[in-house]
Amino acid sequence: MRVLIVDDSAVMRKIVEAVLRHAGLDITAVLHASNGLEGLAELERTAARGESFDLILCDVHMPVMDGLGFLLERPRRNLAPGVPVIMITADAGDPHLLLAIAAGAQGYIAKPFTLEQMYTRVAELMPSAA
Amino acid sequence: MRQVDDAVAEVFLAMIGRRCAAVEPDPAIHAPSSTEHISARIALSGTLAVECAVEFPTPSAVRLTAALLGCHHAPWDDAMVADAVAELCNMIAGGWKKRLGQPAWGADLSVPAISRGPSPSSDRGLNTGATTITRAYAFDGSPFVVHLTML
Repeated sequence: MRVLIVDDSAVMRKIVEAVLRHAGLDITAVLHASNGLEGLAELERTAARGESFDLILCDVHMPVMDGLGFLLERPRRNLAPGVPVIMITADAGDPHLLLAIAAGAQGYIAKPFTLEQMYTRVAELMPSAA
Repeated sequence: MRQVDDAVAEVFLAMIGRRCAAVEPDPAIHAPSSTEHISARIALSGTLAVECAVEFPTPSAVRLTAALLGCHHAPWDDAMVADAVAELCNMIAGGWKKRLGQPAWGADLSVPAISRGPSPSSDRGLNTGATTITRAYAFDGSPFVVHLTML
């Protein structure tokens, strides 16, 4: 499973990658982007190589382009259609999170999360990776 | 303060696998002449008007970063240490808001603001301010504090 992590926190990107790799999921590649615009650029580069992602994990609040902007812009550029997006947030009551789900995110995982919670959430969406 | 204690405990147990409990505040740690501190502040606005701040002596912040990243040697820099403190503040503020129930759920959380320097607690006055509540914690012997300031 190839995963793109979009988060402005370098620490959180490393934590999420480590949790994914230790959760027993079949992870083959993890790429990082620090905001929505960088995430779109990574999707473009990946598509240009004829590759894709199986899952995108995306923060809600980020500078330059936030998670909602990333979700809205992705289909406009026809990037990674059909690839599920899980939002990551410390504020499960955030209206931006609700908008993100309305804009096409498949769900969210709340910080703090345990390895088991991350595994369960990803496995729900990606049974083949479990 | 139970909600804050629970939010802090949840973050450390889930993300680091360590217990973190409230301790008696040590004024010496927050004296202006003491070691440099790294602080992160998040404003809750809308149905609440509160600032949630966490304040780490730099050695505690480095230990937090190492624990979050699961390593003891330094694949990090000062920016990542500040980033770790900001993430912790974010998770504590979100967890506290969740525990307050309605109408706090309607409050918005700002992005964290980071500052470095002498302890801001020396200005606040530990546990004495009428509008700021301060709670001291420690994990693995590393102290830090959480301030809740009514705006």
